[in-house]
Amino acid sequence: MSLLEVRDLKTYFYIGNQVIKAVDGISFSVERNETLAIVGESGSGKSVTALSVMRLINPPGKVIEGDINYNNVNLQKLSEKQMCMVRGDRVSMIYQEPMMSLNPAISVGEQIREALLIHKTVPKSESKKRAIQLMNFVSIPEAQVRYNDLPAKFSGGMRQRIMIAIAIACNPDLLIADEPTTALDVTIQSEIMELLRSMKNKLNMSMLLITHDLGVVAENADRVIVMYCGKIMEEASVQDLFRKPMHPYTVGLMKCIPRIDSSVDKLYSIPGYIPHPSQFPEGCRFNDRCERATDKCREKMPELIEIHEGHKVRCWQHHD
Amino acid sequence: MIKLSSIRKWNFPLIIGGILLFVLLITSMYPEKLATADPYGKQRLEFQVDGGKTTFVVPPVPPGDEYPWGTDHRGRDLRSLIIYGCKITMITAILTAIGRLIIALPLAIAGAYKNKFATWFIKQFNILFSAFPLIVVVLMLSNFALFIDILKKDNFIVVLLLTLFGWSKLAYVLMEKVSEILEQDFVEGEIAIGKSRLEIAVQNVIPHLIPSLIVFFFLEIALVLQTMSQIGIFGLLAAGGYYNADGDLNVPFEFDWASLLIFTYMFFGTDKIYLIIYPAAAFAASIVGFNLFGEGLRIEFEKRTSRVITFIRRIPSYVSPLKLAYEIKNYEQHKKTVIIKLACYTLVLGIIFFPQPPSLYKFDSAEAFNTIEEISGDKYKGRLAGSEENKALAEYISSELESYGVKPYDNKYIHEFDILKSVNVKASTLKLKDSFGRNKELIFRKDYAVASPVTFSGEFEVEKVEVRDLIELNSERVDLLMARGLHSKVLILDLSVPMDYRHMTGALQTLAIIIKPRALLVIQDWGFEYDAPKHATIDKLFQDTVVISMSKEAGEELLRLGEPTIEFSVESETIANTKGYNVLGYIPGTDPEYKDDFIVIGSRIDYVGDDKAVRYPGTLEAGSVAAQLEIAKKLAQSEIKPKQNIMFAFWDGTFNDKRGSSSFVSKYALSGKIKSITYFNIGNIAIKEDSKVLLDTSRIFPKNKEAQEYIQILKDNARAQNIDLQYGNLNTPVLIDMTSRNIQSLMVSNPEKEPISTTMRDNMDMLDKKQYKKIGQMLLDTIVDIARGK
Repeated sequence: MSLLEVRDLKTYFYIGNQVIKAVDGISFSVERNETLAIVGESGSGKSVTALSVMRLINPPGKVIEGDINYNNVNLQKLSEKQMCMVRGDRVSMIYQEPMMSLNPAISVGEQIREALLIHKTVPKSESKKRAIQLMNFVSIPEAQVRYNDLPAKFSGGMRQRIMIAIAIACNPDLLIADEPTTALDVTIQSEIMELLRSMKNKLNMSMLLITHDLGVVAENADRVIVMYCGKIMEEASVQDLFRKPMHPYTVGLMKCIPRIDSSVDKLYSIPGYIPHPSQFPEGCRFNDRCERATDKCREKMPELIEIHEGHKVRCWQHHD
Repeated sequence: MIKLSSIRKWNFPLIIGGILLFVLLITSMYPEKLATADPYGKQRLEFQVDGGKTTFVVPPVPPGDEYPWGTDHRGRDLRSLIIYGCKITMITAILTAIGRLIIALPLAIAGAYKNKFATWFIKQFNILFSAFPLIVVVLMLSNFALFIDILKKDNFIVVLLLTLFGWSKLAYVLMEKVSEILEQDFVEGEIAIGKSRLEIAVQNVIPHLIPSLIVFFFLEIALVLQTMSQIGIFGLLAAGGYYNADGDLNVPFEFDWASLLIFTYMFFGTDKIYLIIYPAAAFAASIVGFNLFGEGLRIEFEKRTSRVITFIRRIPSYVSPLKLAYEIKNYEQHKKTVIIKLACYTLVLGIIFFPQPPSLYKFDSAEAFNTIEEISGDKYKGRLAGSEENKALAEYISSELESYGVKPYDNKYIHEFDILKSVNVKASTLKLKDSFGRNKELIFRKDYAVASPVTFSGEFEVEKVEVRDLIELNSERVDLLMARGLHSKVLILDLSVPMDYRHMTGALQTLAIIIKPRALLVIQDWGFEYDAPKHATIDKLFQDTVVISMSKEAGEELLRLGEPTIEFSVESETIANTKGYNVLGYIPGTDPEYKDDFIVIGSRIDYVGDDKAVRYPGTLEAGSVAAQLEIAKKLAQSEIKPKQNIMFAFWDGTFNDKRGSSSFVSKYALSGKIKSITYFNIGNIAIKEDSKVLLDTSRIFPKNKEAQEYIQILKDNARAQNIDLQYGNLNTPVLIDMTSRNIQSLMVSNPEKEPISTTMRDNMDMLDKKQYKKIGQMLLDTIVDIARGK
């Protein structure tokens, strides 16, 4: 049994007369102790997927279809009170912008303590001590002294560490990391990813890693989903994806990674732009940017089919 | 040297607003230090003779030397009114603002969370009170008789109404603010860790809202003050005096600034415009102060590095006793902080709990209780004026004064005066017999009281008469009444139902002057839980008719019997053409400039006499006399040499038409022998039912600086004794006698929830001995301080 199983998830946004199909029928699963990465450009539906799992979609958005099963429990059917018990305790999330996710008026120590107290992980008398332990765990120096500091007194990397401490306070089974390093310096990025890897191993956690950075994926993920315009285009193990990407979009993404051993005048970019969610093309959504698009691609949406074991692709080129 | 560039950075609204609020705070806390006069004192009609020219001083008095801001139409010093009114005005405004916040905040949070009812409720209320401003609503409510008395009853009602009808704008603004906060990303982070909406609202939204709440709080107070001033101008919700639903004039005792504006419509555009300008200016200054302070705080909160905000945030840490304990424990690291904090704590606690200096002379309450026992004992048989017993009492008091060293005034202690008649209704029986021969005996003074000083007995038929038959008479109707033979009967008149006062007096006059029945049973709604006061029952309207006042319950029983026969008897004692005996002793002053000025302390020695079988000890009245004697003793035997004369007056005949106090006033005050008197009347003190002590200073002119100083000394001594001193109107015949142009009088007494004086309950059981000692000490300290020239 998978830890998290998402089936045919559709999350739409209703804005005026328009229907924005942010996530349009995706299915995936996350196994125990596994890191599943979701990659794609901005607007591909990665973050909306994560928010849908956490039931954090607010109007005008709505999950209109699909099942999200955590440990065989359908999260869509839980009451809000029951869902509060899941969030932060069994499934946690860290965000791209830690400053905006931390309450600027409450000290960092207290925010970690809040997470412990909400789910009664430790008695109140021990909560401060545990919070300091967590701060040490995520390598915040002088944790005891800095317990009472406001978030504004920390650097971006430190704040992200605080976020991680909050997220893992209750030893969740699944950690959803939504672009955890995007807003950070490159050097800090690697530290944070190292920390996440370390947490995952120590706590036997699964991770759903959302990123647009294939480098992060390569170093941290076990399996990868490539999303484009609300659809999964390719799903494979990290090794398979990097060794033999199949979908033209994935190929394009790979080509965008600059190589140290090649000298080029101009870096490669996938031609065209990601279409507006209300104006997806007919057929395969990538067809207007795909060098290998055919009439069939323009007419009909291909299914996501398994080409090799564990490797799925949504492309007419690979159907035959 | 302060640079111009740094001055530009100053938060002027905060500074100016802060100064204004500080002034308001000091004015609220220490009005007696700022005002030159007690606010309850009234300038009465006075005529002044100056170089052969007579001028009348009639309130309202315009601003001048004696009254810098003038007086109101009741003669109260306007400046003192405004200064003393500051506290109640500010409290009303602050409580209203708090009330509005309490209602607005939860609704605003619910509305921001898209609760449909909350959003709808806020919007509708806002629309309603934008279309109908609060002042219009109150104006409308004021036209309903039902609301008139309620609206003007109390400042609490003002707070309630201003809160209930004024919260919506604040709620709307807060709702938008909370929505802003909820849209911030960190809120999603809070949801992501599993917090419920309520937890987020309380733990995360409110801390963000606190700066805004603080700013809104001050701005809201300014808004409330503005509304109060508008309402005051229209004369609504104000305590300045109004005609109630029955058409009676009510003048509530307490006042605030809004009530001072009540007569705007009368005086605006006249030369008495000062009556409006000063209260309006007070309002304006406070509104500006709160607005500026609120805006100043807003500026500070918006600064990223505001020192003011940092300081405010650190206050809880600075004052936390736990933190201090931690710092003391780690003294070496926090030496300086510990010393400063301990010094501050010591200073604050010292100010709060500063020990009062001990009294110079101790009030001997044991001695006073012995005197009370003596005076209220059997020996003086209820101390009826004009009796031999009262003469003996006067002699006793004289001998006491002499033993203390108090000098006789005008060469004698006992000052006789004529009393035409002194009466005492001593016993009565009243039986009702119905047509079946069943008897019902009523209890004297519990069910009925005899209002005529006669000796009488007999059995009579009764007939009920209606008020409507006795008013608006013409000769034909009079004939009809006389034809009924009412003059030979005992009549029953039911006055216990609400009726026009004029109809009641008209009916009584018809009975007294035209019909003159044998006896009249008047059924009245006594409202007493216990027995009826003895002295209140003597009726003067009826010369030839025995008047019996009956309680409503007894009256109903009587009426249920139809028209029974009554058998009743009355035994009374009348002492005619007798003498009353005032006792006057004094301590001469040492300053020749004050040789004709007196401070007079007075209490009454007479009482209502015992009933035939029931004692009327009059302990509370005896308590006043005993306290006065104790004060006289301590002062006379001290080393104090007062600059002005201090007289101890013991009044006789206070229940009679010709009172001892009026005799004294005509003989010594009006004749000019005594030029000025400041009179302290000691009423019934230390009643067990109520620990409040009432002080009536309304008969003291605000411009009389000496008398005002005496009032302040009394207040200070009350505070020193932890006495809950309250202000009100007290009436006693002695004070009426003392209200003349050269006498300034005040009275100290306990209020009586139920009548006690001149009832059987006026005994030692009703005397609160602990309270008596405190009040006695307060009075002694006051007279000593005045005598010392403090």
